Amino acid sequence: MSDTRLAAARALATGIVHPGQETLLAGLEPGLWQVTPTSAGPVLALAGDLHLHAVELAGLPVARLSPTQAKTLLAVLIATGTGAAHPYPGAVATVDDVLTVLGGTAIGPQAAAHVKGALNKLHTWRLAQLGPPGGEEAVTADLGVPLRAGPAVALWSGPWVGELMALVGDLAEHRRPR
Amino acid sequence: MSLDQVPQPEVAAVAHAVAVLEQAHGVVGAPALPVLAHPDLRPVVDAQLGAVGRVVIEHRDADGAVEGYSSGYADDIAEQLAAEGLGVLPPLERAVVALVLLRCVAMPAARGQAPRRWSAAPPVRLARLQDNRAVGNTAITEAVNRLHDQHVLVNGRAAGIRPGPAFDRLTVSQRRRIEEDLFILAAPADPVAAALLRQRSQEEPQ
Repeated sequence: MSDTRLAAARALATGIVHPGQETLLAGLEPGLWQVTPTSAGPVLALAGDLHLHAVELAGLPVARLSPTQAKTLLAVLIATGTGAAHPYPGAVATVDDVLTVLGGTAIGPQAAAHVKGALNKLHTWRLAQLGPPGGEEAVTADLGVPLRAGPAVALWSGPWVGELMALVGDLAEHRRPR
Repeated sequence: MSLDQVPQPEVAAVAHAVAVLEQAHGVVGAPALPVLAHPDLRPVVDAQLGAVGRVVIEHRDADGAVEGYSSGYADDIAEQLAAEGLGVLPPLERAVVALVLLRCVAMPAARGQAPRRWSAAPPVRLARLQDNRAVGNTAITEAVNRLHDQHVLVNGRAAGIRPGPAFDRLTVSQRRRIEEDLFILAAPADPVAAALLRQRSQEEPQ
């Protein structure tokens, strides 16, 4: 079993490249694999232009976000948006900011609970990161908890990111008080 | 085999196959990945996945023809990762997965109706899992939800619970190991279970 093979498998399994193994992983086919820096540390992932989107996903078994999870992720991108072309790393926001984007107190306690549940799942899937930057302890979505775009967002690439950020920009502009 | 040795138009087909196998959740139909049936290009895909400790897993229909593909960790790599505690489920989740596999895979198999693919097994109702009195109902429900989020189980709510797409990423020998575990769990006093345990203890490094 080669060191590179095991280091790569370990990086894929843990979602993180262990310190000192970046040099080993640099030997992988660059057209297929890349090491991307994120707030959680370097991540080994498929090269950006291999990320499937739109029609390429048709007919494939893929994991899809539920409507509440998708809406909550969009709210996270709005709350953490900086106007940059890419949503990562974005600004630090709070769970309150996400709830405000989605309607604040008007959405009611039950809908707020669903949003918090969705944030916890987005945290599990590394699409959102709950807790203070660099914090190690487990944090669940609640009022006042800091939040930012998760390390998985750092891997997003392709034309669809531009389209998504245009939508995020439009929505943020629409929300701004006149 | 390196991608440098492959003609440029075919590099894209190889890269696409690796991308699809790694990003899909479940079995991808064979017609979507013709490169995997190509005698010259299949070894290139195998080599590129092999470089990161992964393998192509073929799924066959009742007649033995390949109907689809997925990718997963190679046996030696999976063993090493498990030895390091990576990807190992906590005891409660493991117990719930065992209950689901017993109900969805082992019991139908004992009746001669083994599902061809575990992820396509007939689902079991949550209430059936809760028949197990050793684990509380709330603990089982919460574990099912966590396992659903990890794609280990699919919680179809009213439709029931079944093994998830994570099981499509197991190689034949990894699935066989689980089948043996289920047998040992269901019939620990059976001579076959004793033989399996004996064989495993002899295989363990001294």
